[in-house]
Amino acid sequence: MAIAKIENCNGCQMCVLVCPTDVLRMDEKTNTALIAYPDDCQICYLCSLYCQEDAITITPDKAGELVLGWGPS
Amino acid sequence: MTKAVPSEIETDVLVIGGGIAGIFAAITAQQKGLEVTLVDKGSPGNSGATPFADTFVVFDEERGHKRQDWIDTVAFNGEYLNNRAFLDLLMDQSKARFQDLQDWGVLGEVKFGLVLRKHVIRNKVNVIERVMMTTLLKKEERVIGAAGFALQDGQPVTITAKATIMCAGAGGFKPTGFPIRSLTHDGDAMAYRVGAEITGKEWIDAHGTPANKPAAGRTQWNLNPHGIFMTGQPKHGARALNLDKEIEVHMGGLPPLAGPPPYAFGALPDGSQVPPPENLPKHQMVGGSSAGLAVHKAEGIFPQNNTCASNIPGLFAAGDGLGSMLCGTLYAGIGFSFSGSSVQGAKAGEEAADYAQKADLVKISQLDTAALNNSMFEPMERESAITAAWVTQILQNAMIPYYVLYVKEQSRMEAALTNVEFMRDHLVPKMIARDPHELRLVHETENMVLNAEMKLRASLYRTESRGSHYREDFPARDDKEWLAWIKIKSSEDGMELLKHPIPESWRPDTSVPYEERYPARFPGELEFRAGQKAA
Repeated sequence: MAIAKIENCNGCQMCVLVCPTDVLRMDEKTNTALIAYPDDCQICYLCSLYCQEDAITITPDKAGELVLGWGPS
Repeated sequence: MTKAVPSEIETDVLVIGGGIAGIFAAITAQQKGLEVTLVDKGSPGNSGATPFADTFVVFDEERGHKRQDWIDTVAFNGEYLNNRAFLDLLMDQSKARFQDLQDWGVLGEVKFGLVLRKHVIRNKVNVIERVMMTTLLKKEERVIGAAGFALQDGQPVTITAKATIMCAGAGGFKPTGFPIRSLTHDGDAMAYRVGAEITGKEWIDAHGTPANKPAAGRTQWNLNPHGIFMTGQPKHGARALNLDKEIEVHMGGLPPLAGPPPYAFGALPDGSQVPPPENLPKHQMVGGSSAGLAVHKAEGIFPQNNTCASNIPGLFAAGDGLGSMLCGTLYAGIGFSFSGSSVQGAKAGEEAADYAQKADLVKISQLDTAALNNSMFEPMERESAITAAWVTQILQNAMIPYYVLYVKEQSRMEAALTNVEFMRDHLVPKMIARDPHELRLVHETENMVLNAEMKLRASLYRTESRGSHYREDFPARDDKEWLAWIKIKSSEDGMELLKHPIPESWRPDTSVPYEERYPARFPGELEFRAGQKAA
């Protein structure tokens, strides 16, 4: 599922800044990065390349569910 | 690090998009003494196609390159529709721009995006990050800035500028496998809506992706461990990124196996050769991974000359969003795109700075700002069930199959066009957004639908085959009718398409027999020509 998990985040926000597709946001309560919009991950690895803590796990399988209906998910 | 954005900004030069073209544009304009604002959907250096670049072609007579060889080779590979003025610019400037990257500390650095970002900030460019521009502001037939919103909190942002440089790249239909899902032709769409001429939509980029992990093309390529490096020269008859895969599949076969490139990859700053990427055994590739994208530099705002100016005063463009036709109908070889964007960015920065020095700042009224914001934020107020994710998915289903935009034919394209027109008229106006992220998706999807319509109309209009444009119903080059570029313009009746002939002196030598002039064959081509002769 593309970007899979973030562990041991130090809160530097670099991944939020460099994600080309706005997948990541900060969790204001914990001050750690959060996978907010996984469907939009393009598996480009920029977030993990730039992560100082090597905290991000990415798998090569496509994220996102098939949008079968035309109603809001 | 992600900070709040002011809602109203005034600047001399506005640069939209922070890939390598936008960075060179911003720094060049700033060095001419102007106040420059660079706005990006993400962050400069890490934006668009730039973070995935590795090669930079340098023309260098000291390394034995011959000007006429390059002119002839690129024209031959690009099947004569390349724009020689922009090749001249590349040959004149690529060495100096590569030296700039060296001076800035970019070379040899895998995370070079961060080096570029630091450099642009250090050069006192006002950098606005994570803000999507949706609309160019126009007053008295002149572009006077742009408006958009912040992704973090949805705050509106209006930027008025004496000159605007569009460097928002090209795009695709958010395909899988090629990292261009942030690129949705936003620049073309904004420019088209204010009357700019758009070109190059019929040319097709045919990047593939590994069949076993089609969504993760980057794992196979790896992130290049060398950073940016220099490449040599275009190769005669290279036919880079042609339609082999798609045509083979259409004929009932398998796409050819891919492996490490058979040529020397390039040179590192110390002069040593770069080895081909490791861990790249022969593997099955599949197509469609860059669907919606044209050949690098082929599509975008139509340049009025080699100064990167559009037909609308105050609007300039550079990089993949400028239809410079640097390479023509097929890619000239690795390194041309990054190098081309760099030299064009610097050129556009210089020209826009000259324009801004003589222009005044036009303010936009509060009333106009309010109307603009209403239309930009309308998807957040709508009562509807249509999501951008769904419209994107059906657009992909309509446009990505190989038999629509790769192997083309009139009735299939007309069917797709009917579908796309329905999306344009009945789905785009109903898309909803429940937060600023979804608002971005709505605007991106609207721009992708516009690009789909442009691609289909341009492909229907060009009744020949050439380079990366293959029509089964017109499978031969037509030098009599089609030594011309197509320009698309907004008119009262919808999209207007025009032919723009290339300069007489760039036309191929028609005394050379056709099969020598164009040695690469399309399926059905010779039979089609024989039929024409018989008729």
